[in-house]
Amino acid sequence: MNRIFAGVAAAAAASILAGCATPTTRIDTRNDTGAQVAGIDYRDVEEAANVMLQSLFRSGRLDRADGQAYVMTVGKVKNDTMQRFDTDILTSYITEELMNSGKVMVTSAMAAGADNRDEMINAARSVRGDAEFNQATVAAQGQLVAPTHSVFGKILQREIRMDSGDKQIEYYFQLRITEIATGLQWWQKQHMIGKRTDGRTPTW
Amino acid sequence: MLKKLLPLAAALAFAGCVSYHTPPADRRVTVSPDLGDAVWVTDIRLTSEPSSHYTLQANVANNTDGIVPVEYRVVWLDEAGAELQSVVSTWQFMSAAPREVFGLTATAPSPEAVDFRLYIQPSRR
Repeated sequence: MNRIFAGVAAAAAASILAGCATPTTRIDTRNDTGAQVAGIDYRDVEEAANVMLQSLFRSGRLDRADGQAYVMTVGKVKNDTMQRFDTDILTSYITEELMNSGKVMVTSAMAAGADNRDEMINAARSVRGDAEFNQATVAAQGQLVAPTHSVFGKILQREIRMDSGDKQIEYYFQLRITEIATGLQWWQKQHMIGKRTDGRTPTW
Repeated sequence: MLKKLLPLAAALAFAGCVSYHTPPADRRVTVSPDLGDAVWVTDIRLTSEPSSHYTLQANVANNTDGIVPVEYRVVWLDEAGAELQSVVSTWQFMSAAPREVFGLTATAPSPEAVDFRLYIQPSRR
């Protein structure tokens, strides 16, 4: 009898809890009215990418006299925040838009992170001389294009305790582009996103 | 001579009166009714210097005695009028000081962008 009662009680508790649970919904990313969060969310990344890309497009640096596209490689973008995320969420916006502009090509043959390198470039070359492959279709030597520029940067987090006990969080998004031939820095942009929240709110 | 000058003087006088109280209308600009008369877009500048990408600057007047936080987004259009999908068309934040004229700027993601639509609404932050 006790077991039956315990089972019924557990089922009732489960259905009550299920009733209270927030239903899963999709985020309307174009018109998101959701509350701000202390950590970095997609809105912050989109804002940073937006500001940086507009700065780069406005600079005129991408306009090459001969009309050719620059070749860019993705260098290291360091995540120096207390949160764990892949900085490719920022760089993929940058490289996608640069390619869409028609002024930049991004190489997959060379990159700081393995995720931005395509292993198939070397794998496809490893079959040179392999009788199983039609050698006329294998990439010849001297075909890879070296990058002219490299994009790299850092995302920083600073936390400041306010007099009220609340917390001020500052996120700095920094990107730089280097001209590889000369080593000179070609463009850079920093964008800060600041948030204030309860002192007990964790940001990791 | 006087007859010729009178209509010109009258036209100048009316033009002065009208431009002060009526926000200029531009079919490319949509200001949310939720903002009422709090902000007016006074004029729009479009330049392609020093880049081949157009940069838009919309000068906006805050007509109130308070801070008006707004969001704006610029949708860029190609020659055929098709939207160019880009992260640069996401909502951007701007806070206008009381009685301030401030510039909303946006740069096109591609040289193919030749026209735009500008949307302004109250900030949801």
